[in-house]
Amino acid sequence: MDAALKPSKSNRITTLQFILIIHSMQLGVGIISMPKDVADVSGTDGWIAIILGWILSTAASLIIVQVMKKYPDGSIIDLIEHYFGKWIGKLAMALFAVYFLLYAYLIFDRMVLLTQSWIMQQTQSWVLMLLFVIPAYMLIKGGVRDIGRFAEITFFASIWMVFVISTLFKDGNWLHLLPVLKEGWLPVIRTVNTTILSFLGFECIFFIYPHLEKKQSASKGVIIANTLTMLIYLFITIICFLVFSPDEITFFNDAVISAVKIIEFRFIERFDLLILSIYLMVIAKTWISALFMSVYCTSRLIVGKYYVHAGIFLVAMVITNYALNTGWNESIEASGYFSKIGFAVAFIGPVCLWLVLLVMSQFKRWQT
Amino acid sequence: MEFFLRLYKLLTHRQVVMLRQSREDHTPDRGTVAAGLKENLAVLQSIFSKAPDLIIRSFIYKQSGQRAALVYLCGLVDKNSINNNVLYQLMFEPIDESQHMTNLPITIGDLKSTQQWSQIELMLLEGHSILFLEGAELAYSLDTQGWPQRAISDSQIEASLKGAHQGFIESGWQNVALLRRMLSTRELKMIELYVGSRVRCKVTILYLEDLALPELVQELHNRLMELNIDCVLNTGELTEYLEDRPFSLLPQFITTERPDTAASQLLQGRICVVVDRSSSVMIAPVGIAAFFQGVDDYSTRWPVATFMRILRFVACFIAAFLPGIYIACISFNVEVIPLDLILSIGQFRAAVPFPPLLEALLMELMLEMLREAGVRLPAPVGQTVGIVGGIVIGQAAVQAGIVSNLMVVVVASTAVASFILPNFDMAAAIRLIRFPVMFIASMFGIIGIVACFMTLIIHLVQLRSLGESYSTPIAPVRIKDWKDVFIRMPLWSMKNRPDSIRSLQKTRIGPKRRL
Repeated sequence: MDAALKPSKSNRITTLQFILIIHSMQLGVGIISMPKDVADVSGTDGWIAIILGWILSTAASLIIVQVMKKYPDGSIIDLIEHYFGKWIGKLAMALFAVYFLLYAYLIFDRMVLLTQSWIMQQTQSWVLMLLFVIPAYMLIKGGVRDIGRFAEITFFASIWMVFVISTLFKDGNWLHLLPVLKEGWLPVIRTVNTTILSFLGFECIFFIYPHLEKKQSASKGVIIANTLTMLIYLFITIICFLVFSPDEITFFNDAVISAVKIIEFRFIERFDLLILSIYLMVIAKTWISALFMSVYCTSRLIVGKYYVHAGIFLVAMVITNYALNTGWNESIEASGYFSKIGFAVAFIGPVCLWLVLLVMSQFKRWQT
Repeated sequence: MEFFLRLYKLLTHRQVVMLRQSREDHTPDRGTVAAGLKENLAVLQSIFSKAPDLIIRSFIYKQSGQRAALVYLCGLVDKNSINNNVLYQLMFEPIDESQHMTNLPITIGDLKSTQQWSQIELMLLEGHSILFLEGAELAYSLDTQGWPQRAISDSQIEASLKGAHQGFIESGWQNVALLRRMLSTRELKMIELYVGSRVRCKVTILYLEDLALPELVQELHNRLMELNIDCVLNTGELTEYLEDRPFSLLPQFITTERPDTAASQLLQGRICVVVDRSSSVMIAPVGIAAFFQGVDDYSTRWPVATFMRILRFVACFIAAFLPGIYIACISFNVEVIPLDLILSIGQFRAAVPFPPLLEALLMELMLEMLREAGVRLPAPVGQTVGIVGGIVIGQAAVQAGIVSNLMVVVVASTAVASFILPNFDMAAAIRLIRFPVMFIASMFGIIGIVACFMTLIIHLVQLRSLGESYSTPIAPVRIKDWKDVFIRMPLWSMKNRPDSIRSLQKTRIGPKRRL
């Protein structure tokens, strides 16, 4: 294992960085299709499902923090190795490596698809991928701390978007939301399936927790991170529900961009292009962080420097994209399968692990 | 075969060079001063062979009747003080029996005795004069330094409106004195060391002991000690050897010619390095924010200073990205531009046969050449070049159909913006960043610019200056320090020292405002 990956004084992160890394893993491409996905199941009551999803994801994050507290100086891999032995540790490494690699690739692919269909129609998607290989490699090489700092700058540099998008309120119609719970709770609860998946990403706590400077603020941090994500989801979804009519909204795949397209200033037209371009930075830090977690696992599993692995994976991603030449349909289908794995890793896994650890810590052997 | 021959030649050549170098490294140690005056002078002649500027003045020391010799390098000494304070005193001062022989009647402050020839050699080269006495097994070194130097004047590249009008000059001890005058406190500590294996250069590290972190001072000291250079002529050379990331575009230390800037940095807990023979002073460690702080910011009223700060950040963005954005909008994302504007742009662009990238490159290169030409030429000619160039860029090029009107506007505003940054090194770096941005923008449009911006931020986040984070207080975020980054709050509101510069003392002493 690389010494640079071990938690040490030189790669500690502050609480704000901890919050923003989690938040930036959650907020990514999902938000763009979210209003449609939610409205498909439960119409304009979907926003309630976001709040329910938030409660579940916060609970899951808190459980992950509880799990990590059992072995605060190491990542989930160290924890599993400590409690279950070397080989199960290796299995977990492989599992997480594949999981985060898929996570990174799917988002990267989706990001490039979005760019291609909205901004650069005539450019091949793998060429667009090539453009982000160098920044991604640089950032991964920098490690957790630099990812945290990058998340901070990107967060502060993209706050203005919220204000620009709020100008849409004047085009909205609040009546679209009424009546609340028009079809009862059942559709809302069915939508929770979709919304909790959009909170995926908090499982990165497994890997960044040991780097956190003040461990006691971890629980507070994950609550803030989830809340921040929830507020942004809620804000965007409600804006889209207000702007589009309840029937109309299901026709827009990328409802957010379509809504932003309405914004027009005297000095700039097609504001959606500008916002989407800059939002690419927000999307990028999602998959770059995920790729970092992946190479964290592979560099422990197989020999080699973690950034060399990152380079290989990035090139492999471009080649895969070139070879498969996938489009929107494949991407959406793959995300459907992936979200099932994501649900297992981020929700079921931590709960089981926590219960097992609770039982184990009753025995003397594992109490230290 | 030929390859091996070449290789052989190369190797033997290297051996010769190495031999020559090793010979130079082992100059024989000449030991200590002898008792006889003649022997001493002979040794001296052999050390300084072919040095017509070595002056040896032999005379009789009146007090004791001994033969004596005063040696110095003419041009490095103050002749007045040698004639009046040394030679006159020694040759004509009446005999005073009560005085001990070693108590020389010389009216010069700094008088040391030494025995080592190596020491004497260095002293002579630094402008001291050496006094030998017959029968004494030691030599006296007298501080008679006085070499040609210019008067203290305002700095050329860092002009200020309301700041002090004294700039550093090319003599190290005077620069230290200027700083001492700015910060007359006993906490101002100095470490003197010599750098350069062929030609020694005195380097002084200055810091405030109750502020600067000892480990940073130690780190800088270590880096300077580990240096192995032939000779340091300029602070800029030294910074290149000390940088954390030598391949980065961005400057990782500030070099300034202004004592007030250096003093204000010292007061923030940073460390100064004064290099003898260079008129600029290095400051370490620095963050990105320091490059946007001008001297005048603190002497003008805070709303005005705040406005200037924001202007600088905007200008920095314009200087780096505006040509790129223009190219991206014209060649890829035309739909972003409002319809009326795109019509008029189209009208102008129709007359221009070049693609936007070529058009922009042409103008940018022309502009850079004009700037460089203006720097090299004497002021009156430089102005002419500016005017001629301005007219060529502004009017004739457009009429000739080489560039479009809007391109001229873009290039001109980029140029003006790049001169707003108070730090020359940073401004130069930003000007350079513009070119890769232009290329990427012409290939990938607005997405390319975002990717460039991302890369730049990632690089900023990863840079270190003397091991300290370069991007503080922006990342890691220290909101409290933002009082003096994007805006400048009133001075009395900055009760605490910035967190982003780690220092021993967290609060400033007594920033109180009388209401």
